Amino acid sequence: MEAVKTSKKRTLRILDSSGDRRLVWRKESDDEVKEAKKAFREALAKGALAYKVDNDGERSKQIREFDPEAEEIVVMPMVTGG
Amino acid sequence: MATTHYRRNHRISKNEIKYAKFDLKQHIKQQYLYEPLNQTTIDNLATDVHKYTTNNAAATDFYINKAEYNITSASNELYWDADYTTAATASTTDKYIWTYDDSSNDYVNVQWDHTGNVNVQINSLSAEEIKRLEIKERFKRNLAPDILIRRFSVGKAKKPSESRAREALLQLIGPDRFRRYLKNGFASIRGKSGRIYQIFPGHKMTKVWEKGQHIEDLCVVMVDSSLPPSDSVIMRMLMILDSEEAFRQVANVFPRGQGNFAINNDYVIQAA
Repeated sequence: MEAVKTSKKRTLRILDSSGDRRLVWRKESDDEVKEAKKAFREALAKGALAYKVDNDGERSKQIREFDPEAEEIVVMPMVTGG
Repeated sequence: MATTHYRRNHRISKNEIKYAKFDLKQHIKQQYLYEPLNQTTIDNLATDVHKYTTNNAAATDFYINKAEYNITSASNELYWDADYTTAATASTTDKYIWTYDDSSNDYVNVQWDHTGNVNVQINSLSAEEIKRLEIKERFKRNLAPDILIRRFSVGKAKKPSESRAREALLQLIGPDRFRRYLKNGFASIRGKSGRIYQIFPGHKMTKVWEKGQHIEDLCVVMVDSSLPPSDSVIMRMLMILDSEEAFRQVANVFPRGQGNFAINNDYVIQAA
């Protein structure tokens, strides 16, 4: 039987009052990508900020469009000066 | 008194606090350089000699605190009863006569006129020297606290949401930096400009350090205040790593004075 090669799981982390909500997708799974994309857009529509983060947590880049290639995306609620 | 330095994550037990208090009491007692005048003390003076010994007691002198022994007499002679505890008048059985020099306001220089062969331990310091030592000791105590405790430690997560937020932070920054965060109560990030950002959980302000000096505080908070404190660290960390300028634009800026900060580069996240 031929093994099915799947890519690494990627995470969308939405910070909320429960700590965070996580959605996992693999880029070859259209359904998973679609679901993650929907959650991403809904959060951004509410004024949230999204950052693409690399594995070691040393780089982050603000994004406004969902990137299915991103290893991890963190979405945080609206921020303001305190 | 020995100053006790604890590791930063050391939890101080009740016993240690008790010992520290005892140590402090002993220290206060010793700084007067004399023991209360009772029989035990005299016995100790007689047997426990390490500084000065004489068989001619009349030639020895030491200092006592006038206030403690209610010394108000203008005379240069004091009389003690045989039990060494209470001052008596010259008319009583004056077996032990102490003469003193009233040159100091607080202390008197006492000579013990005991006629027996007694070894006496004394501190041969002048009143001026005693005062100098007291002042020096006060300075030392102010500069070095007796017990060092951690001020900013992150305690146990009280809510499941905080546990989840910490788990997220752990995955983002790695175990070493996360351990450091728990221990110190803050995360440090070096921005592309070289400035260090000291991020505390919750609504505490972010301290900005440049060349070892605390230059300003930046206040950025999430509009939704129900988020756990460690989520706030993630938020500020990602914003700073992306763009310091953008972070500063959002923040309320509070310029600060000078300060010092020892940086351990192993645990500082470097913006790429």
